[in-house]
Amino acid sequence: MSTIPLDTLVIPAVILVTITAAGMLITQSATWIVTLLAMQYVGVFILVGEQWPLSMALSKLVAGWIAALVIGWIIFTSPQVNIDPDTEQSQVKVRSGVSLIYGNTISAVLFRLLAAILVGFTMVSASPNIIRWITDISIVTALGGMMLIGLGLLQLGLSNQPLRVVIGLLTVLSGFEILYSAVEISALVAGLLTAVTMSLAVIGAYFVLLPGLEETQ
Amino acid sequence: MSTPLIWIILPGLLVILLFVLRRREQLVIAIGIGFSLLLAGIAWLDPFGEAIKLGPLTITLSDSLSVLGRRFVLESNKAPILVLIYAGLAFWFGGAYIARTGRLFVPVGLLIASLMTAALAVEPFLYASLLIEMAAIAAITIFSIPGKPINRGALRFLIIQTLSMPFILLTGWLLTGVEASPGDSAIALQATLSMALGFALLLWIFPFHTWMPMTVQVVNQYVVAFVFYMLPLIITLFGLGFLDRFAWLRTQEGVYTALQMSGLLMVLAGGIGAAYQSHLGRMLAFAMMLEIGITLLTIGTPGSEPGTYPLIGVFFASLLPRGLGLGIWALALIVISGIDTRAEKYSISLDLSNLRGSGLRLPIACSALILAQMSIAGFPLLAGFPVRLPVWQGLANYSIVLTLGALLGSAGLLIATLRTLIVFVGDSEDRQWVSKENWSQRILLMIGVVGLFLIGIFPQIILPQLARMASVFVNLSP
Repeated sequence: MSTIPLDTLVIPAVILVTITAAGMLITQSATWIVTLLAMQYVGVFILVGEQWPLSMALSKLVAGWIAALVIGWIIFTSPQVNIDPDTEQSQVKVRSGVSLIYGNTISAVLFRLLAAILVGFTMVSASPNIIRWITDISIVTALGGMMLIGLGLLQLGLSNQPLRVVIGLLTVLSGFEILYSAVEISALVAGLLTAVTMSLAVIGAYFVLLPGLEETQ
Repeated sequence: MSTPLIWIILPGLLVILLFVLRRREQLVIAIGIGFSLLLAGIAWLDPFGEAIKLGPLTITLSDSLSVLGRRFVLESNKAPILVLIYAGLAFWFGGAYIARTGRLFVPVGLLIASLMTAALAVEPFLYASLLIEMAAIAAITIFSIPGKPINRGALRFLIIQTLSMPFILLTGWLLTGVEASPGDSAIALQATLSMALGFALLLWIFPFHTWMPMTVQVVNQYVVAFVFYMLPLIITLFGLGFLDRFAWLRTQEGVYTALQMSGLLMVLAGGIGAAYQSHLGRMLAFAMMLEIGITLLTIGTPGSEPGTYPLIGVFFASLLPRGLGLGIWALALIVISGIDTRAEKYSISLDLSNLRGSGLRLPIACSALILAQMSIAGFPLLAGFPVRLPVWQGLANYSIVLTLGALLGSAGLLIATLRTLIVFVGDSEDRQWVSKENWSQRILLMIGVVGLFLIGIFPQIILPQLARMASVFVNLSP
């Protein structure tokens, strides 16, 4: 099996996916979320590439970047709506259909950060069990996958904002794909998982557009 | 020419055309019905593997299609299921215009059917979970109301369906381990647990059912009922595929127990939940929970020997009464809520407190609703009864607790029906009998009601043929 000679990048990739997933949980900026999502897929590509041939692993990167592009494009092309007509300040202008705000207080940010750290520790302690189960995977790669699954689930658990839900699902799915790459090498599975990733991104974009659509559409 | 091309690729391509034509609603519905009936008709003729002569052309239908090194296979033994899927699709499209399902319903419905057929055809069959996930994502588009943010129920549905996929895929990998080392009970336990969790999510088993009442309260009930019918049907067939293929799995005592316990939980939650509901849409969701519970109990009733599933035919027979009951119930809700008037959408809330005396204004819709509820509850002379009776009898021979649970679930839905009936015939300001339904609504609802009675009184006409579809699963059929 020809694999990508990127073994030395595995540890930086795990750090990258952890930081990006935690960052998406904490940040309230759409720009940052889209950027972090795109960066996350670089890490996923490296970790999947440890097991899969380059061409198949590249499909993860391409699908992930397309997903980030679709979400980003739809966010930044949505019309801005002034949510407070009494003021013209930029911070009260939001993109129509896009809501990523969870609170302005420092405690809200701190809570998410601490929750992410707690989930991180849980995943570190769970990873040795995973390599007993899936023997073909290294503990570092397993940790990367578990981090994404844990932080993605935390994202899903902490928010019911449609865009955050889609980001959370994409993160969980990426984590699973890292683990699954060690047990299954199939072009059809890679293709279908790519299709699922892009479908989720498209549905996320649809959620953003939905409030602005006419009822007859 | 191959069979997957006809039943998977062609519908997929037609989706694009129907999407382009979506503003011509009646045309799209007509094409949808015609095409679905055509596909059901071809499957009924069973031309698999035969050479078809069209003038000078001779076309041989091969039964497989290779995609990225794997195969999609639709053999002759799957023909009855194809008839079931596409005839069912035509039935649901038949009510689409009156139910004002929106312009995306037919294209998305056809896409869901195409993906579900692909899920039944893909080999290895475990990859089906990916196709089911894509169908679920497609369903989200018809769960949404343009001009309004996506509802929380639909979001939960998306989360639940997406989270099920990894468990099913991991199950596939674990099952190969079980086959390689049959004596390893630890792997067998891991595979069983992973599969159980995957199917609990896929089939919306308690506590993963919460999206159902949330969604049906705010989204067009006919659309939700379509998804209630279509997804559990294919997912159940997918689950039966597991039992059919893995001998060690179907002979495990724990599988029966898991099916029975989850079935009992769903039946009780559905029946009791329905009895307490005051919203007719939410009542529909709880009735669907009852249906899923009964399905699990039907499959989980053991035969005299381990590994036999004597009531599997009843599951297939129950699909027609279920579809008819759900369809009539949902259509009646649309008529009662006034969504069809075009004048004002959702002019009347489906909360029972707003519907006092509705039976005087909308007698046909209200009667159809009551009869659909009674049919799903398994009331004699209606379509649901002939398929409930063998389940109750089978359960009674096996466990009194399960029998009482199943009966309690049906009783709960009957209580809900009585509450609905009391409200419909209750005193109201307007005491004059009028029928405010339009003619198309009346005709469609009356056809449905006649169907409920015909199947209930003469079940021998069609239900045994449906029950014979169980022969698709050669290792499970008695």
